[in-house]
Amino acid sequence: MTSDWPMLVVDGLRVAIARADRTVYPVDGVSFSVAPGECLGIVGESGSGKSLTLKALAGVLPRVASMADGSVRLAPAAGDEPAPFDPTAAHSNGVTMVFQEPMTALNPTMRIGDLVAESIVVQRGVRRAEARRNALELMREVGIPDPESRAQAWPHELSGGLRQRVMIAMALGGGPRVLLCDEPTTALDVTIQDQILRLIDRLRRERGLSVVFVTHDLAVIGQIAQRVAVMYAGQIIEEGPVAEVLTDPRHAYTQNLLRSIPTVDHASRAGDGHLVAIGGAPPDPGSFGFGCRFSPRCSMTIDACNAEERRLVQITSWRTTACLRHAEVSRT
Amino acid sequence: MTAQLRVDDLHVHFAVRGRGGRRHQRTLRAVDGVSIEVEHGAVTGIVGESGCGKSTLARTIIGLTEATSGEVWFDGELLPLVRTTLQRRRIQMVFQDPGSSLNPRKTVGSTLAELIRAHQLRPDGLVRGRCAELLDLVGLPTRHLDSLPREMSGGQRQRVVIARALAVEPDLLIADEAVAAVDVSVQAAILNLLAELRQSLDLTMLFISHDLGVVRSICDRVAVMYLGRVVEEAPTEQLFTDPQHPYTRALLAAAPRLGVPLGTDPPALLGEPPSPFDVGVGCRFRPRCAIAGEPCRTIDPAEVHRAGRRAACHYAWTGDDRDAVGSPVAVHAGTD
Repeated sequence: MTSDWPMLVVDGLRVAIARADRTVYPVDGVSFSVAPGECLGIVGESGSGKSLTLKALAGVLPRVASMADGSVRLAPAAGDEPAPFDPTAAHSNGVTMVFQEPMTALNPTMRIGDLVAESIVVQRGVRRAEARRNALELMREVGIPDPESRAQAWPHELSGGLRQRVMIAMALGGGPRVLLCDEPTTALDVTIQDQILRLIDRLRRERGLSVVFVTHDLAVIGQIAQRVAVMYAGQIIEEGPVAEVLTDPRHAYTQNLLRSIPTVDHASRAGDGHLVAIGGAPPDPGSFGFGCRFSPRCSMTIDACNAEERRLVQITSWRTTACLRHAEVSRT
Repeated sequence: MTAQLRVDDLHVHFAVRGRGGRRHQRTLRAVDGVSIEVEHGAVTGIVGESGCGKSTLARTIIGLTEATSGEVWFDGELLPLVRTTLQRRRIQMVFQDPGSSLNPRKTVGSTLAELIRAHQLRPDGLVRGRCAELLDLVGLPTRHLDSLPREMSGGQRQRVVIARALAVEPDLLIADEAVAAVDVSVQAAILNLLAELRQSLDLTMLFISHDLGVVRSICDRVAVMYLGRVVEEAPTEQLFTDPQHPYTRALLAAAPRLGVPLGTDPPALLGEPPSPFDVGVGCRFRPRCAIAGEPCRTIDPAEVHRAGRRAACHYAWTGDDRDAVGSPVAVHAGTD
């Protein structure tokens, strides 16, 4: 790499949803950047705003939602200085998205080969014959066996794993610089998830793609991402290298989450105190409080936690946290 | 100890009509010869990929789906397809998605009260008190008696679904992906609740899940299903630390682990499960198996039983082949 310019820079992103009585902000001031060839994981529960963040970047926000504030910048090529970027502008913009549910995201009335070719035509503006040839290459690259005959298949004739590969091929059609992944493996079986994660990881390495990978699964984040941002109630509350955040969390929420997850490797038993449950439930965007938004569920809350809005502070040169008591948080 | 639930060589086949109409009717073997015993007070887990037949097995045990052949015994009694009220009451199910399995127009209290009245478990004057008791049992404040499902969070709704199953005082609880739809931070609370209820109410449980971590945290024994069959069954710790069937090993290898990056190895298991319409001869896992040999091609492996465990693999408990599995070359050769 000739320079340290990031590929994608998101600054102060807010997404607004107008409700009957007032406007709520399910994404409330999210900032991050992703380097070329890097995978940033965004982990959070339902309602944390992680999916809306991604949809805002892909320009596919639901009709009720809109980008209220913040800026997005995208490098014209790896190593260049990022330039202002409008996610809602035309398709051929270098940022594409892979969705969670491939059955509903694929047009059921088009054959697989046409779907992939169409994505190339739309995103690159090439002629259809050339797009068809490229489509076969892409299908081969994402591991679809026997692409010539599969190109004739309909989406419903494919398994979930193959459909997800088709969607990834479509996302690659325009030669994107940034791949946004919205829980692409959540609907898949664990063995198929393993295959798809390895595919995305290989594409990142081979193509130098920047990947933003959203999931609720911390273990998946640990596998696929180099850096992780933990979201809670519309905000990033902790960020850092995956290996550090997962073993040495510096936010009470991250720590609690890690303790509450039953893992394949540990013989921790439910009911005997090994699985630490977090009381309550994540808040609705209509009821985000002042101060630390996790404080109502946190056992370490003190008055100072809610005395002012919590902001991310730098604790080492590569880690940030919004937890006031980060020094006392450690995984015991 | 005697088995409270015994499933004996159960087959559940569905006739599926193909494109060419009746003449092209094919048979989907969802459950294809499953035998399983669950001891009184134990929690047995069932894991496997989608389409392996784990949910069909549950639906057949509870009487929602008709068995093609085979028997379901409960407390020494053979369960018929059409069950008596008592037989139905004693086996209850906790479904995956509380959003769609609760009546959206009924308050929590009336949902519970209806069941208690239908089964005549309390005189009318005591029904409301019993409903409050049930909410207390699942850790919900009694003010939720008058709540509608949409006024509650996902975790709270799942507690209501559990309370509803407990309302008729069952002996066996079948949990089908009971925590799959709840938030990560709420999941532990639901698992702890189930573990406590099992102790306090002396419940027997069949716990169906695709999440190996969840299964390890709550089950005493685990059965692994593949294409309608149980391919391995063992006490939980032994299954996780000393798996004998290559499919179990692949499942464990494919499960994401906290803090373990992917690396550049090929996937733990290539390809996808074959069609349950056409399982062919020999071992049904052979097309994806890393250690398949000559006998696997032609002989459907019989179950090997050893020290309270079983595995349906020609190479179970044969040390040399298990060493071979450790090497990446052997694991990934000859598949896909």
